[in-house]
Amino acid sequence: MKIGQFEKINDFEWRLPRETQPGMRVPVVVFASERMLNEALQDRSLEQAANAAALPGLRGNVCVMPDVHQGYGFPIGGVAAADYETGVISPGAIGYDINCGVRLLCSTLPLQDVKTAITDFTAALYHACPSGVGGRGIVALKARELKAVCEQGSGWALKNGYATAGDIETTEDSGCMEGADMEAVSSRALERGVDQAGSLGAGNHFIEIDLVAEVFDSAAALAMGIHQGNLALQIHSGSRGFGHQICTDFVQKFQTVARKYQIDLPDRELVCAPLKSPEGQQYLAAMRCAANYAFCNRQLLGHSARMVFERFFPGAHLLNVYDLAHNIGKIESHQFGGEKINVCVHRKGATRAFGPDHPALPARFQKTGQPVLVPGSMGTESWVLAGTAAAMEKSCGSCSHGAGRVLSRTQAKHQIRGDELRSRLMAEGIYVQAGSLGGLAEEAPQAYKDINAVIACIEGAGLGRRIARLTPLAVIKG
Amino acid sequence: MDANRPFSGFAEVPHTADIALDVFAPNLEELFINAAKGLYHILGIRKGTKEVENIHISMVAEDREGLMVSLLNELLFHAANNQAGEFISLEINEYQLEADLLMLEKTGQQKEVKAATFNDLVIVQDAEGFHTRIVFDV
Repeated sequence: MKIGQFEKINDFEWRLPRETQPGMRVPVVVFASERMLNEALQDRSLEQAANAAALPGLRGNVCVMPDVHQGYGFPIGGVAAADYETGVISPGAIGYDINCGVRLLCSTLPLQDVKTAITDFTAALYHACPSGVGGRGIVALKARELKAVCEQGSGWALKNGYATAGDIETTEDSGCMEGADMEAVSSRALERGVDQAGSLGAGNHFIEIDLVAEVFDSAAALAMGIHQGNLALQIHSGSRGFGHQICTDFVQKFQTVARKYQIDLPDRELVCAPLKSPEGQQYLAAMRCAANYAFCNRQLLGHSARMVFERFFPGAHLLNVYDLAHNIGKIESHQFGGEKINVCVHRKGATRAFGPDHPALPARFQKTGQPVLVPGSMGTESWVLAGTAAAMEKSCGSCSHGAGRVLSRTQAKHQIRGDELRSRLMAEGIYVQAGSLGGLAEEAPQAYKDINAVIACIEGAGLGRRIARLTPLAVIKG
Repeated sequence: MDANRPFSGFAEVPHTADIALDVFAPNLEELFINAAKGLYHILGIRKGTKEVENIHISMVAEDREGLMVSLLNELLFHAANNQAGEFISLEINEYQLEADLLMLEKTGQQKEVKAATFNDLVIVQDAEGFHTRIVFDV
């Protein structure tokens, strides 16, 4: 694919017409500067977006965020809305880590009061929040409790003393997607779910202690509970083996289902089922179980982090700013050609970014718009944005989820040594606690795009507006 | 060593977000076993000496690619249960796979792999033997 195939809408929006490739049902719109578009053309991510445009029943455009990179089937940083009546749901367009997402907590504590305690605090956090490959979580669930987690999400954590009412209010969907049904989940997934609730995992999952370095909109930051100069904490994790198994089960199952409904696709990883079919409804019910498990997982990790924080810094508090999903399929209502239509918005490596006055947002975010959490790569800045009315129009209320990879893991390991990276970050004042040096090298800042360039594209396209900038003080990797 | 024997093995190839594996073999059964070895290599699995159990895997799929993904995801499930397999036998008849494995206790694992995917997966047979590229979500 070449840049000449794209029509320039403006400096931050590019359209790939549906005539570009046989089978495309809608255009693809890429939100990027020319430089970032050229970068995206270095791998197969935009070919994957064109393939995704072949999914039946799509409305609007397949949207591509500036942090896009090649995935499997559907690109990371892609958004596609399928008509609920005539469209499909594709597990591969949501991802194996269902409801992988980010939680941000901000403290009442200025950094200057506790600067010397960051290292010890990080070490304590590392022990309190299980991380790494496999591994058991904070809570071992009995079968009955797992069912409750699947049905209630963070609500289970609230009932069992692992959450506050404020945590629930500041979680997307209040930490619970309606319509979850354990009957749709395989015994293998259940087996994998019982002992991982409250665990970080490995790969690109992390806990990061940050400083709120700069606030751009004081009123919005105040509404979100973000205070310049204070400590903050980000948690990036998902639905663990439970979600992976659910996606695996349905990608396998849908190989025959797609044929049953005579759906022809350019990539088998995009297999799907009509949303209204029994198979589509079954996946929705199972996916929601995994989404609720993930909400509860991050809640448990957040609660554990809060306990450590309050033990370390008596009298100070760590309050939830927001918790959101960036691998998810959601039934939402959006405007298409002046008509309001119910669609299933597939967001894979993309964050919901609802603008002000949206009924799905709690009262405290009605004026500001939804907090949008965009973590940078390890050792670089992260951003808190607010959703906008423009995002509602252009991207079904969606925005970027991070910096986006540029180097493969293999390339990163060849170019960067984990021990040298850790030493360099330490020299920059960023304390690193990692389970694996090889894993650390794979997540090096050089392996990712420039987060500030991503943010500039988001702002240029109007998908989000800056609220606060965070700089890292310590990182925990599994 | 037979110099005329086609190359048999696997090699990790760059993929922006995930991990891709090229797998080669002179016959289909060996291709599947090499893919399994490649998966264990990516996972950084350390097998112990403790024998847990013998298992039989029986799978039917729409095609060979479906069998490949099913087998690899089956091994991932067992890896999540702290077991790693040694193939005793593996037979493929059309789109059916039968395999016997000795499951050993897993004593370590360096990397998490979420799943083997169908992304652009094609098993090719040519004069050199069989080869394929598998993308894993990590």
